[in-house]
Parts: sequence; C-alpha cells; structure tokens
Amino acid sequence: MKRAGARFFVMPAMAAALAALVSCTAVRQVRPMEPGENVVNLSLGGPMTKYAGDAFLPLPFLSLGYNRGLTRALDLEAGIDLTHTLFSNPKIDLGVNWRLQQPERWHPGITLSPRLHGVSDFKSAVRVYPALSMTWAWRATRSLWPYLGMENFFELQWKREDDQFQTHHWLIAPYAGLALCHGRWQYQLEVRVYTPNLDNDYGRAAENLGFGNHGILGFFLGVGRTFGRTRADTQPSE
Amino acid sequence: MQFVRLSGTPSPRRRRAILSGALTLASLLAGCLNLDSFLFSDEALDSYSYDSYDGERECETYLAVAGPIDPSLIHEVTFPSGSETIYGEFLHTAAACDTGDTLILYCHGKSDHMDRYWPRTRLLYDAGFDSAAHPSRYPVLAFDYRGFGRSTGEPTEEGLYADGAAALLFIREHLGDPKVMVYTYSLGSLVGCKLAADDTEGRILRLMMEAPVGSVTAIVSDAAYLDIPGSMLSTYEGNNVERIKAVTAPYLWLHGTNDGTLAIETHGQPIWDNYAGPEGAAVVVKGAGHRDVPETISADFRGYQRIVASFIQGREQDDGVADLFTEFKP
Repeated sequence: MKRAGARFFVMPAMAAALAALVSCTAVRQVRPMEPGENVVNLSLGGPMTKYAGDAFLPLPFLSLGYNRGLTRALDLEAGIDLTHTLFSNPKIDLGVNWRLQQPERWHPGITLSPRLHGVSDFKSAVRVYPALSMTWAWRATRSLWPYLGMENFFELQWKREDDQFQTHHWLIAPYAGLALCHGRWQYQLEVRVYTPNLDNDYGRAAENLGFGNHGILGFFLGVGRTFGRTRADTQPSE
Repeated sequence: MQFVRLSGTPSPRRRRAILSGALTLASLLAGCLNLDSFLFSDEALDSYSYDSYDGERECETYLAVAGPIDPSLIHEVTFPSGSETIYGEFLHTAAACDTGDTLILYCHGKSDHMDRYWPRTRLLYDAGFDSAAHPSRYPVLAFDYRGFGRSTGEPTEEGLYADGAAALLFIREHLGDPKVMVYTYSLGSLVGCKLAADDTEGRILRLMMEAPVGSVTAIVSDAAYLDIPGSMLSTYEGNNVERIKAVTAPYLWLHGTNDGTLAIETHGQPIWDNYAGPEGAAVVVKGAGHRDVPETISADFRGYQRIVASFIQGREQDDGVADLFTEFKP
C-alpha cells in the first residue's frame, strides 16, 4: 500500500530549461520605446515538462526584466531569472534591442537583439552564453502587437565539464506572441519552440512536450509597466 | 492607507531604493533551495506486495514467464543504516546463505521502491537456473534506500552510500557472509560503484552495472544540451566515470543504444573506457532503451540471464556465451 505521493523529478527538468537559457528570459519588449522610457516586466512560464505527475506543465520560471529606451532605435535590456536564483544558480542577461525598422502600417518593425546570458552556481562555475534574436512585430491595432521571431543561442565550449565533447553549439528557438499594450501596462503571451531541430527524447532524463520527438514547446505570460515618458506622451494619438 | 501612483521617471533616491531592495531580495533568495532531493522519485509504502503489486513495474512480463513465486523464498529483512531502518528483500531457500554461496546484492534505480523492481529481482534470482534438473539459483538481497518503500528517512547522496555499506555489513553479519556480486541498475550504479571502489577488503567479487549513471554533471549537461556543470543544480558529486578507475573487481556493463534517460555515449561508455580492472565484459544492446535491456536481449529473458550467470561464474568468454557479449577487457 502506498503511503505518500511520488516526488517530482525536477532536477533534469530544470536542466532542460537551461537547455534554452533563452527560456528563462523575460518576455521581449516588442513595442518600440521612446528615449528615457522605462519598462519593468515580469514573466512566468517555461518549457512544457513532465515534472509533477503525468501532465506536461510549463516549468514555472519567474523572470524580472527591465528595458530602457536610449534612442528611438535602441533600447537597453536586462533581466534576472528569479527561479534559477532561488535554486542556487542566478541567471542574468544583458543586451540591447536594435530597431532596424520601425513598424508602419503592415510593414513590421524589425528588431535585432544581441544578448549575453550569464549563469553561476555561486561557487566555482560561471558560464556566459551569447545569443542573438530577430523579431518581426506588427502594429495590428493601436494596442495589439502580434510578433514572431527566432532566438539563436550559442555554446562556445568545445568540451563539457565531464570531459565529453560538446556536440551542440547553435541552439535555436523560434517564437510567436501577442502583446497587448494598454496605457502604461502591457500584457504578453508568447509561445516558443526550443531546439526544434534536436531530438528531445534521447539521453535526456527530462520528459518534454515537443513535436514528435523533436523540440520542446514553451509558454510564457508577461506583464509590464512603463515608467517615464511613453510613446503616447510623444506622439499624437491616431 | 495611502496609495502612491507610480508614474514618471523614478527619482535617483527611489532608483537607489529600488535597486538596493532588489539586490537585497536577490541575495536573500539566492541559493536558499537546491534540487538535490529531486534526483529521487521515491515513494513510501506501508507494506510490500511482490508479485501482486499493481503499480508501474519494470520487466513485468518476466513474472508471466517465471510464474508465481513460492512465498517461503521471500525473507523480509531490516537492518540499520545510521539512525535509519532499511528494509530489504532476501530471496533464498533459507534465511541465510551457506559459506561458499554466491549472493547478488541488487541496487535499484531512482523510482518508487523495491516493488517496482520486483521482476528484476526475480530475474537475478533465476539467473543461474538452467532447468528443473539443475535449479541453481543465486540468493538475492534487494533493499530500499532511505526514504524509499518502507525504509525510513529522506534520500540523500550520502545516505545512498551509507545504505549500500550497511547492506554489505548486514550480509556479512547476518546472511552467512557469502561471496558478494553487486548488480546495479541506473541510479543504483552510484551506490554499487562506490561500494566496489571503496572495497579494500576484496569483499565484492564482481560488479555489474546496467544503464549506469556517468555523473551528475552528465545528467545535467545532457538535459541542457549545454556545458552546464552539475554543481549548478545539485550539490551531489556522484561521478562513476572517475570512480570506476578505483574498481579492481571484474566489471560487467550492459547498456541500450537507445537509452533515452542515460545516453550510452555520455554515461555508460566513458565508465567502460575508464575501467582498468582485471576483467571487463560489455553488452551493448541494439535498440534497447533505459528500462528494457533484459527483454531486448531476448524476449524470454534467458539471454540476459545467461549473460549474468556466465559473468558471475567467470566464464563469459566460453564458447556458447561469448557471442552474447560485445566486447571484453583486456
């Protein structure tokens, strides 16, 4: 007779989330920013993983992000993953959003976002990973911004800590989302597919939801608050 | 209560306050949890059910092959490990071994409890069984690590090792001090490999590891696709790739090429590569996953049992069985 429920097999699941460190990033700032504008956002979500019973659930990664508009074409972005921090390996990311093209009617805004992701165990190990994403965002209505894009994540090590050869150096994560901007608030839903080109079923203790045995599906919810001047302050309403 | 509407650019004072508050919060939160305990999927039980257990099991079809067990063969035992009480199942015709008997100490995987692995325990018990005319069987002692099944306490890495050592002591003091062969499956390899590596008295005559863990770091890195040190998620340092170097007992390694949990390339193969003992035998099972090595070798399990029995008897290179193995060392 059973006396208590099974424990969750979370450790590999957490590692699976590290699979795409991008997974732990706060949802992206889609709407172009004004110089001096500040946005603080909080996002929750992660890869769909079997870590509590038989259901696939998004790992509950909570991230805090900050964006500051430097110019109309450039804003600074920083984030910290609170869940990973809670579990002894704080992860931060720092980068910029370079708005190559401003959105206009049905022409999407195009944003190139180089970032550095850093993660440490507070002891001896520190890892830094560069990443580059490109986002296409449309201003569908005054407040609705559908977007899609692709995150590229780079592993520069040739050998792993366990002396095995590092076989993956370029990890990709296409994403699509919807941002609703209402006054100083913005709400976001984003779907990501991590590593759709890689087998998610071989040699990985974590069980993830993907497409067949490839990729890992992830869901994120985000909420952001603008401080300082906004686009609405500097542009007449349409 | 007064609500202040936050708008406009925060003043430098407010910015500093927000920043220092965030840093304080981060430093308070940082590292206050770790994932060590989540390496295990232990489940507590009030009693063991053996053949009649209705939960998830491994190699379950073997029970149909073998038929019901004679209950008189099962001896439920307990032994202390530190302040914890460890429960074990001793399968034998008597309550203890005779001098010269060969006993298999079975270290199970990370999930649930001994009932899950009961068919595997029986597989080992029957490994030496050739026919009704030659009913040679090996006594088996399986046990639940602390926190698993009826064993008390909470599982930890150090606890695993302590429980393994306590089982070995129990065999010496209460089970007739037979010859000991250690068979491990998955997580149990951390226990068995440690026992064998630390065995300065030569008590462990042979070590068999099926789908072994290479290291905690390999688990983490494989799951992440990245070079993520195990220390980022766990304080556990289990590393059989290094530990195997100290093993002087003969070593049998079994691993499936399609192991979706512990990949053969990053777990089993590096251990095998580092084994420098006197006698090694490897069985790489094409198409087998993590849980189905025995039945993939042959559906009636006899191929698996012949491999185990021939290795225990030290005649794995004999004609008629050598072709069941993939590679030998030296």
